[in-house]
Amino acid sequence: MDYYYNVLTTVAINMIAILSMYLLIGLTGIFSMGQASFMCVGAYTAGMLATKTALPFGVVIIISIAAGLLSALFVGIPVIKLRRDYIALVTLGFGEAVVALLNNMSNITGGANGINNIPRKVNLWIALGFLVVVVFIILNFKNSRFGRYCIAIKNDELSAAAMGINVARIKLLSFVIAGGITALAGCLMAYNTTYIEPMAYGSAKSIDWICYVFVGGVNSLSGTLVAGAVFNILPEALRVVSIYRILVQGVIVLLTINFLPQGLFGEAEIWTIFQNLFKKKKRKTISSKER
Amino acid sequence: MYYLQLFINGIALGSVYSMIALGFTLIYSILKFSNFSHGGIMVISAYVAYEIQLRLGHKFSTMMLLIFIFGGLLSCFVQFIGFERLRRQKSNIMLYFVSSATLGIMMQNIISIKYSSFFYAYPAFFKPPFISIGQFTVSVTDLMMLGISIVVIIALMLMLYKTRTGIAIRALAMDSQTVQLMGVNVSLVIAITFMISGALGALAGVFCGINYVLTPQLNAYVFKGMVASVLGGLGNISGALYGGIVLGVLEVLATNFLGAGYTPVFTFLFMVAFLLVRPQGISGKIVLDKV
Repeated sequence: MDYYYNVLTTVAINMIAILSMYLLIGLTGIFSMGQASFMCVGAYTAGMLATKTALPFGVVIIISIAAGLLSALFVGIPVIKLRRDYIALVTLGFGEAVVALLNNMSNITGGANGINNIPRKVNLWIALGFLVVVVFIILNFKNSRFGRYCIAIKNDELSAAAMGINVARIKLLSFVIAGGITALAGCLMAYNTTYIEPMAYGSAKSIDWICYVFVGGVNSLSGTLVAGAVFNILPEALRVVSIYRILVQGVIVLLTINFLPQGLFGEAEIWTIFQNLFKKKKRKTISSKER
Repeated sequence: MYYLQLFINGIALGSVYSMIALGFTLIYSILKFSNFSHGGIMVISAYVAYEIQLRLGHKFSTMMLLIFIFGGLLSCFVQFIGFERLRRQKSNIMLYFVSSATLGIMMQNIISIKYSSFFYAYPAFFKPPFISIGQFTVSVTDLMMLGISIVVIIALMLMLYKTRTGIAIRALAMDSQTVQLMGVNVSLVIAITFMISGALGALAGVFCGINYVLTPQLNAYVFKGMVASVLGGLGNISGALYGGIVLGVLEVLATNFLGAGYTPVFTFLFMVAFLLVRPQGISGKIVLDKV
């Protein structure tokens, strides 16, 4: 039972990180190949504070999020005006730079050994609670003015600018928010696994997250949630063939991209699907009466 | 004298980066997306080259020739499974990007499964590993790298600027629809471009393998190629050449003064600074998004 508990906690934390990727790709169309490095930033901030100071859990979380926001601002300001490929490239470079820094500043960060003995303070319910909060925030963001700006920018930057949207500001805003959310996930991860090392947050992880978003459906929040959950739980269920995990995942992604370019959910959300079912039934009953 | 020596080493390293950047840029210029599967092609080719020299004897020239052909065919195959259908459906550029990143990771993963992340190394191909010219000591591998890169790059330039296929490739980079109306077989030209790019990638992969060790992580070198092509101006073929050399020299200098550990940090900061000052690259001409 403990095992399943742990698996589900890790999945919930990973989903928080994947949701930040949804905010970037699904809403704004920014490709961040180094998003996992913000998780790294959050995890290391939390790890260092937790092992070297006696700050309470809540304060550490807030500081980690602040660290994520700041580092996202630092990366975002110079690159956000550039085109998509440049952003992908610079964020990828940022990821490499973060790993190199952590590996080399071994007196502060423990180098390649990472940080051990972080107290374990996250359980399933805390992780799920944060997940719900993040889903709520992103859902509101999507339906707010800013979310609609973001979608306009994703579809066509030029015409969004022509409609009077401050493209650079909105992109920076969503990049920074995503950085903060990812750092939150990193902080929770540090408190969950009690151990962090730099190599776990390479570009492969960011690419995985991008793939989950695309499989679920770039335009659908629930698609991202479902795909993230499935891709995180499946490898645990199929432990026996775990070395083929990436191959299987890659084949699924390629098939989805080629044959379902909109992703599994397309534009739909789970709740809208239910609403539509309900509406159709209503209409049918009325029409049968009329006949 | 010492600095001149560093400079020579930098140019030798830069010539490999140029080769990676050229392969990357060729694809970018015709399909307008960052081809991350280039790294996967480099990894697989490097390992296949290892197998070839194991089976067919330690002959450098045969190995290079066979791997050149192999890289081209592999890249063609990758294009067929990864991008052919997307191109037919006129999919969003983002999907190409995801497809290429997935393919890159899958190819790296195939090698990790087969060779289980152990390190392999090529045998010493050249009997005196170093030769002295005047006061300089140059490793024969570096010299060979420089020589082969120069020959290949000159051949590529001749092909691009003098033959009908080359003209078709450059025309395709400008406007694919018009090219189609002019009676060029676009699918064929794209396949040929992928073939050339893959062959360049394969050679570069083998050189990286000779220079360092064979690991599945060799695909990270596609990142160097990307940085080089950004420095030169993304999508600009001659820009990729300069960019590679500049990056090579910079990296050797940074490794000398800051240590190898901090080189990625320096590269990242340099790239951000460079993009702020001159986003159009050294050559000043980049492929722009079509409006």
